[in-house]
Amino acid sequence: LKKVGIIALPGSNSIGIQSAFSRIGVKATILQSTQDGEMFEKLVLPGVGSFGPASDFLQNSGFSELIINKHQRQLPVLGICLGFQLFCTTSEEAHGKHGLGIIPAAVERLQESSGRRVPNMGWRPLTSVGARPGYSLAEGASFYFSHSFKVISKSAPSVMAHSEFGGKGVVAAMGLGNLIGVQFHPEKSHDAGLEFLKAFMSGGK
Amino acid sequence: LFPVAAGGGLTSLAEAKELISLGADKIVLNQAVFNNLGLIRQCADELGSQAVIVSIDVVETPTGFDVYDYSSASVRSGVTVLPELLANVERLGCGEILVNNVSRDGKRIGQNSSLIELVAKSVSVPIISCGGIGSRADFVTAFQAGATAVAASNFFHSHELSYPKVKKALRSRINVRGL
Repeated sequence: LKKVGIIALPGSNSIGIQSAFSRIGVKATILQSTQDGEMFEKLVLPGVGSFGPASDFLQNSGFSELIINKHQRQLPVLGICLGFQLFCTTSEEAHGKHGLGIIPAAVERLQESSGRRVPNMGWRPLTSVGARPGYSLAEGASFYFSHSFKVISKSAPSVMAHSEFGGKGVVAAMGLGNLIGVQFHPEKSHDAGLEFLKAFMSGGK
Repeated sequence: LFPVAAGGGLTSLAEAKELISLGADKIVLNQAVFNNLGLIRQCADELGSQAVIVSIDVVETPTGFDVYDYSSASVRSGVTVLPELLANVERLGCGEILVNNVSRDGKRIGQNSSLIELVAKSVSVPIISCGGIGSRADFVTAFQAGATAVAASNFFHSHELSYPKVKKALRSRINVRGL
């Protein structure tokens, strides 16, 4: 079994993620089709893009079934930014489109407030971490965020870490078994991001 | 391991997507402002607003600011031109504005705070302010005027250890990456 397959979501920065994995000595492969999906131990659903077209792509390409299937078999899947949002049910970015529905949560637009501009762009600290964070997530550690939408979770135990935007909490990381979603970009987050990817490779430890 | 924005000569969504697939995290549009506003909307719809930077070249005039079109070396004059253009690109889905003050490019005399204030007032998306940085203090002034991010080129080439020193100067005000 090969280690990591990165789904080639059109318009995503899969090469950036591949390059971050290579920094920690992991050779990740970009998956153009579901055909080879079974050959990989871990899957990554990258970010950068827009919910509507990305949701259509997942349905039409068959990657939807692949991800759901891997999750049901407790295999590790990582969603980054939009990838994380696609694990959810719906998004205000594309009314009428459906996510994978693995995480029972909706995605809503960030609200501008107290001088905080949307999209939220930049290096932001985690303001709190859950009881079972793992994945090298520590309060105060900073990661790179670049997003206009956030996951609204009603399932507090699944939330692994929060960040903050305009006085309100932003779900920064969530876990459902071995399926992990992060709003930040570990591949753009310097040492903290590499530590996170290393932890993902070792099953969260 | 940091975000890459790529631009220059983009005329279609297909080209923008190609840059992203080659490793860019964001794309930069400049000429689209003059000849293809629809491209801003297309890119925002497909790539998400957070991946679309519109770069606007500005020149200072005795009465305010004009928008500069480098390809025809011409200016669009008038006090409402810049604010209207900014509001328009934001409406089309642009997620970040790179405002490049051509009049101060390479001069190291500090950035123009009134330009930053005008842009900050005109849009609610993040602003990258470029043009004129000559010292560490100039970064601080630009952030105080309302810039979300500050860009410099010349300064980083001509001052020793400028990068860690700037980070140190900014650390108490904004969250910057580790030194």
